[in-house]
Amino acid sequence: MIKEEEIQHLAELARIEISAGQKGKLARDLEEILAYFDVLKEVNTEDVQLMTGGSRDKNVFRDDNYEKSEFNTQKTINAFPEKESGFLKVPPVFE
Amino acid sequence: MNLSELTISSLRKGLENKEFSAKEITEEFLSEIKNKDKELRSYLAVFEHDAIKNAELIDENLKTEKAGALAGAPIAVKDNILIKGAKTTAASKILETYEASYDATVVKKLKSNGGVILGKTNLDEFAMGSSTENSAFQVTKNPHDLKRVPGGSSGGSAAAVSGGLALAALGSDTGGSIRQPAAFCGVVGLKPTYGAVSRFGLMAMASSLDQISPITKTVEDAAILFDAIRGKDEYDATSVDAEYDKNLLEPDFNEIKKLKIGIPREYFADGIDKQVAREIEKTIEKFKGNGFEFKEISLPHTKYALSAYYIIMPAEVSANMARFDGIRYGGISEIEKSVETLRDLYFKTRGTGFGEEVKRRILLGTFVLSAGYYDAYYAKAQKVRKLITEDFKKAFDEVDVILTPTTPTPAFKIGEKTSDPMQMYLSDIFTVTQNLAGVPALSLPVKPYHLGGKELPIGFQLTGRHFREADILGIGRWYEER
Repeated sequence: MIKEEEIQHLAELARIEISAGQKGKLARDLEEILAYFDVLKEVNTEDVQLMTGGSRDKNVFRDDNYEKSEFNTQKTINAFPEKESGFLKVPPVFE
Repeated sequence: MNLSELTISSLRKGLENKEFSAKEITEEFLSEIKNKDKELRSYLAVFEHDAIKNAELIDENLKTEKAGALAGAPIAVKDNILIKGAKTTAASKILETYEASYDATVVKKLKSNGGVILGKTNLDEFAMGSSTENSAFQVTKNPHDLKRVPGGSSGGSAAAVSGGLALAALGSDTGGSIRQPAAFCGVVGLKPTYGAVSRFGLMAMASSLDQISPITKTVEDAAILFDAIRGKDEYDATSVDAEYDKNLLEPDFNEIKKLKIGIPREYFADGIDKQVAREIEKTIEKFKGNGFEFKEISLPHTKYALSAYYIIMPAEVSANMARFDGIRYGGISEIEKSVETLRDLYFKTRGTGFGEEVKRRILLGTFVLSAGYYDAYYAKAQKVRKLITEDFKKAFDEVDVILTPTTPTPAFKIGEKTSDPMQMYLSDIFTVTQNLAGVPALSLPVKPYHLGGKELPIGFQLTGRHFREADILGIGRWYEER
């Protein structure tokens, strides 16, 4: 049973404001979705390795060199909501 | 010029024979968009001026050089793929003002092959959905029946191609987001092998599953577009330098007819719509009648795929969505003015900027990854994923290609599933397994592309071995040309 307090806790972890009205619906949705996952309990996964993706199970390395980027940092800075002398400006971190 | 008959390959021939110019074709598509997209709502942005300018440039180049593989082809791009200087919103309020600062690798390749980008297409917010109803901006309609959804999340791309508002389109497929809308709209969708196409410049949703994929009118066009965008990219470490020979574009049908096709019994269990079952049966009969060898096979863990997918995908979503913090990609200006602390900025921007489905998936992903639940959900799902991948490996020891329906039903009505997320998720039941296993899959219509027919389109799906797109495209072309 997913409680509204658990939704609130998850929302805190994920840094999302969720209105009081939304919490009940989200709790019910998660409840239904998690119940569907119960079917996985039937599967015997003893001695099975976790799969973590990729079509070829091989690490990819590259030399640790730096290159001049073709990308324009000014455009990234322009996307900041607030800036000052090329720096990102954000509200205070500590309350 | 009959636009509905036009394909990437016939366009190229027409340009070489000077039957028309790239500019004329682009202008015709732009005028179709003007006439019809008020109703279909497939585009979020149209680049009228740039498209015409680029088409003129291609006409100029054609005087001296050979046409590129996509020369003059008017193409639409899903709005979660970056185009330098263009707004890229992922159909989310949180990115309403974001302008991309570089081209995705696939966009670079479209341009260098002579493609003309018409505009950006609608999607479920951040590609999360199966109907395109989760867009923060508009609801796209299915061109075959305006009361129905085009599917999702690449619904704008599928509707644009199906409705004649683009010759081809790019989308992304994480659990069926290309193949399901292609099936619903009566067009062709190819999800390539994981690693075949660079995702650099695609907004990541679930990184171990995402692939950029073509939507086209014909299988031949899907092969041409795939060939143009594939390849290793130093900016995407998961991309692979895979070898493809000339059979990818020019299949040898004598060899294609030797491929053995598997029918997995698990895909034909209950829950399939009668019309879908009937049409798939007819398709199988057509192949059999022409000498293709079939074999019944088993993919025993199919039943668990949807659960594994809806655990792994939200887990990755919850990590990937963390970057949208109201700072790095621009924010929502009313919120910026009203908050006092950074914490408030995060909470309010994400609370206001993300839609309901995105929030649901972030919370679900946060839940399955949290201490105490990780082993029961996330680790379990990744183990089941391994078993699903092994199912495919075993099946491909017996057969070369696997044939299944793409979706359990034809396109559903707008609003039919919006209040019940689980019902919506179930429409992906036949498409998520291929993403979990990383294998390529093609959806194509059981009947030839034809807009305005009375029946809703139905798609069937061909799944192949890793990096054997040539097999599924070859069988698809054989089917399409007969």
